[in-house]
Amino acid sequence: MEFTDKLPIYIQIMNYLKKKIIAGELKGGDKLPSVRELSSELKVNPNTVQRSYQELERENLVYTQRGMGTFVVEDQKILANLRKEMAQEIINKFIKEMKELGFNSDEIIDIIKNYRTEGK
Amino acid sequence: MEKIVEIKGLTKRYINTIALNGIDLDIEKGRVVGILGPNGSGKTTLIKILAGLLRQSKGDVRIDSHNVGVYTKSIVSYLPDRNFLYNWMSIEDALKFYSDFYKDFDMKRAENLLEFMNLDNNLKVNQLSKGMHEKLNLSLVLSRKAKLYILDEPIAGVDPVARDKILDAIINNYNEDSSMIITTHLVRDMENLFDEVVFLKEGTIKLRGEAEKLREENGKSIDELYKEVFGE
Amino acid sequence: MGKYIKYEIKGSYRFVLGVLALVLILMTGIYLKGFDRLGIIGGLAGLAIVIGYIAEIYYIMDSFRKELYEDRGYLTFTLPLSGKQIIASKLVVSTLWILVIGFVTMGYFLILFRKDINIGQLEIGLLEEFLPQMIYYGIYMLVLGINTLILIYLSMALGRVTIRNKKLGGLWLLIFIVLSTFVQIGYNYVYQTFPHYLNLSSFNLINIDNGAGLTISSGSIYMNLATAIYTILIGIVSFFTTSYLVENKIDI
Repeated sequence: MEFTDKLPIYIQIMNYLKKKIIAGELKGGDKLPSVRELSSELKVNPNTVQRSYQELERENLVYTQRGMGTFVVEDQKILANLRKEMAQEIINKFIKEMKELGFNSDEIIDIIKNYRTEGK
Repeated sequence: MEKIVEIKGLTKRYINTIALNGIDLDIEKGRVVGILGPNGSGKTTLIKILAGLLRQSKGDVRIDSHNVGVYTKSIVSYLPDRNFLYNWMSIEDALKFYSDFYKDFDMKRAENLLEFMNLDNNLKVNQLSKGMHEKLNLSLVLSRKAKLYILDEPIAGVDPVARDKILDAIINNYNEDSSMIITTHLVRDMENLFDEVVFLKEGTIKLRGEAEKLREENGKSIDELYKEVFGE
Repeated sequence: MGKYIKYEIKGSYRFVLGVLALVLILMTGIYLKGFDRLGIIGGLAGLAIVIGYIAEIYYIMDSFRKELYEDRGYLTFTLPLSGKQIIASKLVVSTLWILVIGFVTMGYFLILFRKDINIGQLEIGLLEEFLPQMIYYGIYMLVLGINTLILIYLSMALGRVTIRNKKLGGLWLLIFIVLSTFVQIGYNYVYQTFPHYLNLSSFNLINIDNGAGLTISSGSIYMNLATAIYTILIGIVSFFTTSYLVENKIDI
């Protein structure tokens, strides 16, 4: 995983995990890798991973069981919301950038329609 | 939080130069601190004073509430920026040596690390390449259950493959009872390891703070900050 | 400290035994050449032994110099050992080698050339009479040798000391010459001021004027008491000073 300069690392790790959850790689009830494992894999300070896990727990996306690890929540509603939220964030960003380029709403909708019919 | 290192007003003077000029620095237990700066900034001087190889001109240096001396040497695991093992040694000899002098040495851990680094016990120290030296020295240093690890430029002059192994070993060594001080000028490769960073320029601390906070506040990576602070 | 002695031996035995073996081979060569005069044999064999000794002493001195000036010092001076432990270990091992080399070469010489050294009845008698004195003399020489070594260590250590932010530096040899000159001046003063001598065979005390630290007179060896004490004191002071410097004052 490549880290960018623009966001704190712990947030980037959170996003990385959120994407995995949304994509289904991490399902409800699955155990996240241990702090040590993940820090080793991503080559970051374990405290940073720890913080990511804590923040995710604060957002009610994961929960920690002492001695057992950190797990993805099973509540499907929460997970569905997460999916919606992340999608919304990406869309907002997309529209903002397109508008900055000078496209208006109709043009944007056309582009998306074409994108769909070209079967991608 | 318990402090493992307390430095107050540390100054190191030579006839014509001041290597360190009134350094104040405290380090808490369980933290990984990066001391960043170009060559000549005083990083190595600071490290050598902590290790007991140099005497300060002025100031207090306390490690685990003791002055630097025989006791601190028993709880500090130091990785210098050079090949310091005796020439006649084999890797096996070096293992026994560390085991003999340091009660906190974990032989099993050392053997595992050496295997991870692909180093054969029978090799002689004077047969090793620079990269192998670094890997060996680091394996020995990290195999001690020390209270303070001091690593002076652990990945400088080392090929990328060895570099990855070294970084892996450092990360896996992390535990909340020990602290680590790592000096480097290769900030890009190491910045994700640090809880805190200290920018040392010409013997004084120019900037200090938690790595993540500095990134957030400045909207930059530590590497970019470094270039700003030290750039021409 | 015993552990450090172990590693000092491990690090030096190869060289020491190597040179020793060379000297023994040289002596064997001299023997096989079959010189017929004891004088030539003694001369050549003596030369081989002396050269061997010089090589060993140089090696021993150099090993301490390496600690102060080369990378290995980074290991030695970060070990949890006091200055006294480090210096004492080095002295013990140096003394060990000096004794080993001495006894092995001398012993081999006597064995090899026993036919040439005609030890008749008279000589055995003489030997019995002189042996105790020779032993005391040998010990005295050994102590003097160790003292010199400590003084060399002290000189080397002083070269690495930083006092008031100035490195004392300079060739350790220069420092050694200065130090040993002062030691010698003190030595001379002592035996001139306290001319009390101990006969090393009868242990009588007499006064001698214009003696030296050690005098031989009418077949007996006389040792000046005051200089003996002085020498030991110098040795002890040098040892503690060097240990203190190495633990507290040197910059590597």
